[in-house]
Amino acid sequence: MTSLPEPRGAKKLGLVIDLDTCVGCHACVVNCKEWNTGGYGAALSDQDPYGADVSGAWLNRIHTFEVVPEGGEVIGEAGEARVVHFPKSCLHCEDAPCVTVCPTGASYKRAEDGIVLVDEDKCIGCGLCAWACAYGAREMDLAAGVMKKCTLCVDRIYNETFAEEDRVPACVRTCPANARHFGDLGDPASEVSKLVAERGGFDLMPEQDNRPVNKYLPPRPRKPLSDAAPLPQAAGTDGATGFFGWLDRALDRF
Amino acid sequence: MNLLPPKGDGMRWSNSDPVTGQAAWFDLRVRIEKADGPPGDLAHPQFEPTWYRTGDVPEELRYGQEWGKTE
Repeated sequence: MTSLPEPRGAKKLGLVIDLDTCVGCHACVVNCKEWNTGGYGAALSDQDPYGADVSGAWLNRIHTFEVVPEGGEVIGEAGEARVVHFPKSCLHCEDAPCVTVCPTGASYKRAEDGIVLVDEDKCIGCGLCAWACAYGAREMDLAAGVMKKCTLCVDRIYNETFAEEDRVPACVRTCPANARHFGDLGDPASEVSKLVAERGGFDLMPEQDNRPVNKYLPPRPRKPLSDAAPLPQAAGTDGATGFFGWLDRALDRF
Repeated sequence: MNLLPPKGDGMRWSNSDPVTGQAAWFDLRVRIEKADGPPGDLAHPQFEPTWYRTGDVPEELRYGQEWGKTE
């Protein structure tokens, strides 16, 4: 069994994921695999990649749910239900059961910044950590026989050969909706901590006592489309001058 | 910018649709004539079936392994 680090540094690097703005485009999923298949440790392999039963190792996956708000009705009937896209990756828990369950010391949590990593040279591929993880965030690479997990792009965030804006995890850098944020959640004055406080960020499954570092921001309440104000109607084009007058006359000719 | 030959006033018009600006070749002249078909009535070029069609596909992909540590 493997111990969690003592004493801990104050730094707790992690992600804040906004379930309100995530559109489920999978850009983070793809860029994560692209970056991490050629970086930290063994490649993220795919089995039967061109066949009917494709599978492979990914460090980040999006699950999509249809949820019905309180008092709402299902989508086909009232249009009040909404789809929530839930990106799921390692939450770098403070009490990470995947670390304490590891029989070889391959899984470890770094004292200095809280990142949970796998030393693939020590990993025997027993899969106990995948069983222990409450979030299903670890995946076995079948080609290499070692456990793969989110590294928080440890090979990007401290990489001084990168421009400052690129020193964030690949998923955060690529998110076109800016739904993913990276920072120090151990510092109450950091941008991510303020965001969590402001938006009511929450832990996934807190009853599991894993104390995840990553936080999720809840979807904001929304009014049904039918409650929206009607669009303003265009006034007549009589008496239009200038460009619009010319356009109106030109369009009349067609 | 392609311009048509000068008009009587010496001005040259753009070789594009005067309203939309859509590029076009209004001075293009073409001749169409029937040609002999290719042998076997096949369009050309013809290619061998790809590896995807022949089922010669890998059972496993390890894209990126070549940049990592060798095992």
